[in-house]
Amino acid sequence: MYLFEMSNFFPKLAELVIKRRIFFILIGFVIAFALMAGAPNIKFDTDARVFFDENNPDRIALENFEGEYSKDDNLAFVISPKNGDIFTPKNLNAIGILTEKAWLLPYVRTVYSLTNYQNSYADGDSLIVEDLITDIENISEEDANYAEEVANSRIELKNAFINSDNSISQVNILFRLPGKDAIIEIPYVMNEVEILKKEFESQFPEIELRMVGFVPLNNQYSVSGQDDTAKLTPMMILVTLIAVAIILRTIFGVGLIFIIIVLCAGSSVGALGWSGTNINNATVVAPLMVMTLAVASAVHILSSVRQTMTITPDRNEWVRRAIVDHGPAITVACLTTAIGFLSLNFSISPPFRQLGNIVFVGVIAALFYTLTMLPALISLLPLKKQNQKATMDKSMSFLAEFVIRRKNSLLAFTAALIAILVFGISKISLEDDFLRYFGPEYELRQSIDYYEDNFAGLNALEYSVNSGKENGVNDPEYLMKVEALVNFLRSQPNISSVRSYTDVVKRLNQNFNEDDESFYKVPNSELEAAQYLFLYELSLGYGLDLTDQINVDKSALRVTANVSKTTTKGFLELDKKVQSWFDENAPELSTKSTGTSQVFSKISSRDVPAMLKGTGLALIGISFIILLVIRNVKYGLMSLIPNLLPAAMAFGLWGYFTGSVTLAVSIVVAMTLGIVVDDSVHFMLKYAKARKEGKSPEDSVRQAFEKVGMALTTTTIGLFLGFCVLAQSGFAVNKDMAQLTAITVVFALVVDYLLLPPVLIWIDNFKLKRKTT
Amino acid sequence: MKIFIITLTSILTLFCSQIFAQSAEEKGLEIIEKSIALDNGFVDSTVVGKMILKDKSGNESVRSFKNFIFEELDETLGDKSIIVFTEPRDVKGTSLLTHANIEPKDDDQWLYLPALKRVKRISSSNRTGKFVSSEFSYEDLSTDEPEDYNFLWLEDINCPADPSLQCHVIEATPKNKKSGYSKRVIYIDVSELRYQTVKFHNRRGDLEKELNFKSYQKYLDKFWRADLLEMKNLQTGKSTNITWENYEFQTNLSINDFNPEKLAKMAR
Repeated sequence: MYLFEMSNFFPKLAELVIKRRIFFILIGFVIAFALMAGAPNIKFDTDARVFFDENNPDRIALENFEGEYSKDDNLAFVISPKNGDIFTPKNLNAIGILTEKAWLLPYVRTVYSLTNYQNSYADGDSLIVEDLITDIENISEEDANYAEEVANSRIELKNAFINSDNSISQVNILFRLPGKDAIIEIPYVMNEVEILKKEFESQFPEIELRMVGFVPLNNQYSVSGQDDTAKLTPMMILVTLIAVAIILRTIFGVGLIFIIIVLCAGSSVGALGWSGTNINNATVVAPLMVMTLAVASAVHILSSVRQTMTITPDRNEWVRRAIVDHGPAITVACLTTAIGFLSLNFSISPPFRQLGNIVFVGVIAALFYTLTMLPALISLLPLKKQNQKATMDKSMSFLAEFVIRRKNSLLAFTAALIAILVFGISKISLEDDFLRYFGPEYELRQSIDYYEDNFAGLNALEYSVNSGKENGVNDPEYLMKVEALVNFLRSQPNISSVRSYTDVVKRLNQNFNEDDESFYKVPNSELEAAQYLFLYELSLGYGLDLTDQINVDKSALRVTANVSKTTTKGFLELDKKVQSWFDENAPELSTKSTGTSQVFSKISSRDVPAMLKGTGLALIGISFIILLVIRNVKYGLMSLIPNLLPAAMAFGLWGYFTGSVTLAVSIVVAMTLGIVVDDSVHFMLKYAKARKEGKSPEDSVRQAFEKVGMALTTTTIGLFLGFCVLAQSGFAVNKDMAQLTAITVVFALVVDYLLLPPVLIWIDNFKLKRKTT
Repeated sequence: MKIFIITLTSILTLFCSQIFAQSAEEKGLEIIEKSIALDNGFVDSTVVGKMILKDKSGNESVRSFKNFIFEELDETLGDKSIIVFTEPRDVKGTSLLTHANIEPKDDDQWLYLPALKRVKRISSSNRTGKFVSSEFSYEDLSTDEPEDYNFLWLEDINCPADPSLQCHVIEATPKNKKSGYSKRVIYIDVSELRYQTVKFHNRRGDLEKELNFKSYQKYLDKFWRADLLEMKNLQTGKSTNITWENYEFQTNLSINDFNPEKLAKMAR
């Protein structure tokens, strides 16, 4: 800051702002509106995959897999008759009707259900492949009983189309979305789905209908993002303004702050619009973050004005003092915050990079508006002079005395607290369950929980098992190995169902041998297997085929294992078991798992190292600014303590209370670093200045508290409240990120108030003693 | 008087359009019936078919087969046919015998699998399913039976695949609820009444597939046959082409050759 002071920059700026106040007000609005003009271009992304970069290796593997088989853009209607029995003629009729109507939805590729299950059986010398319910309009009791018997004897139906006690079934609709514009396609599909659902519910009031699947999930990404905006924006503005009103006790100041935060948030969103990027669930909170951060800057100016007005009625003097006294601090705060957010560009997840850039723009805008437009407005508009000293100032001197008196016990206490908290980090596990990113307040989330509680798993481990040769899927030796893999998977407790073509070929072998159960096995010869497959493909019903089970040149089979109620850790462990099964039993068939769940389960562990690099660079950049400002290596190094500890403490606390954390984990340190650094820098600057003036360490602490205590407390309260509002997001990644940040900000103040002063006094006194001896 | 004339003209116009609407249906049916009738009397035919399946990224797979058809003279029955597959190699000799029936009765079908050396009767209620994983369904490959559809003549325009020809445009709506289509739009050339193009609308009503008949040739101075059938799925980008070679007519096949017991012999 000496640098800034020497350069005379801020006094010059102050004079300029006072002289050209109309110009600065106008130019501020012009810039803001020019940026905001980009906002109408913004659309909401409807794709869970926005979190995967195009060169994310897991995503590439998944897309290759989908190219070979199919992309599971699905929607499953979960059917729960209130009488608890699927196998009544009426309920089967309902499923049949829903199946037929589902075919009429837009972009439908295939509909799978209990009623159109391709039931194959031998009838005398005939071989029949037909729908399980051939005529849905005329279902007799016997038909229903027969269907029940078949459904419960087919391993491919149990826990897939019928749950363990025959009380729930599902109609699974696979879509082939054109993929040209998901933002239009998915809501279009969902709109028709909702109509179909309503129609069904009024026709069959005795059946509960729920929806799960990727299509409603992707739709939820746009819905909850919009919900967040609609819910959090007014809350954020209200909370911020009330807090400012209470702290500053000036309604007029509140009005000014409102203008500033709206302009900052608008500018950042507008910049996003101009860049042509869509907004998504993670970036939707960016403008709100900008508001919070902008408030912190603006409060500095206003509280300075508030202090000056007790001394002089000269309006220009208020502005001059605010800019000269606080300009450097605000600049440093904004620059460090901007660096922190800029470092999010190291994330492997595009939304975080976008978040970082939006907030970066917003913070720079905040810096500009608070140093030019805000003081210009203050000098122009009739701000009422108030004489009463804000209460906060008095309490600061109490705090200073307390900290100095109890410095030794505080040192011991905070050190112990920190040690205990930091240990909690070891209890944190990275858990990304993309099915549960959305809070339990959402209907989709309730349906997902219901489905996994009562039916089967929604997360899936996918394997493409390659035989190594064209038409190799008919090789009996290969088929037997795949069958063994399927059996192994079925023996795992977390796996609810497994889907593989091997079940089909075994059944066909039995059917061709007059339904003799001893033939329920892989056929003896390759020709037999090939001809069964050929026959089966000839016999399948409307819209059904095996292309999502067997690849084009028939060299590989897909094996899908649905995993229920398993976390990232359990999911990866399960895959590890499968890999060692391959190693022991069929190393030549070994293949990596894929699937959307798999990509999500690895994203955090991929992003953490990437963001460690980013965080490290941010730390270097921020430390450089601190050194530049403090111009003292000792104090510069010491500032690392209050800058790095708060995030560590927050994670530790999290570890004790929550344990699991989503993708948000990787960005929190970098984000908070730039924010919390302000507190310590301000405190150390004032301390160092007092020391230089020859004051004792104790008196220097007193002075630091007196000069910046109030500002630090108010900004911390403001930031805490702001992030508490963001923590109300219905999206787990935002929620985690906001909660962790809110805790970090508070810990930063605790460390700055309770740990930093005793440490400073202790070190400086130690040196003094050494000098005297 | 003036008013009277106007009223009379309006009534007449209304009346005529009524007649016109009816005749559009009749005209559609008439054209289809004529087109089918032109094919009567071919007795039997054999032909070698080659089916090339292409996916969106251009991967190809091939099915080859020999097709025997026996004309059924009894109007209450459909024709009889045998398809003997020769490619891919592992299904060589696999044969499908079909005795077509008039809807709603399902066709009778038997399958011979050389690996088992056995003939099995198979169910064929799934006429809407894909034929050997191609873009053709059984429904697409069978001849139109006028009783199964409501026809509506729409207009006469230039044929979409060959603008030098005039085409009748006829909309065919299936009576059978189980059809895979809500309707088909058939383009039949005016001069020779040959199917030129068929557009298939899926159950939802969206245009799903387009079939073009190419390289028509006349056999026995009477029977037109297209050497190439191009089916394109407009929604998936997949396509299937069938080329027909070595057409032979009146080859002295007997109805006994289309007996299930003879299927193993025919497969050779």
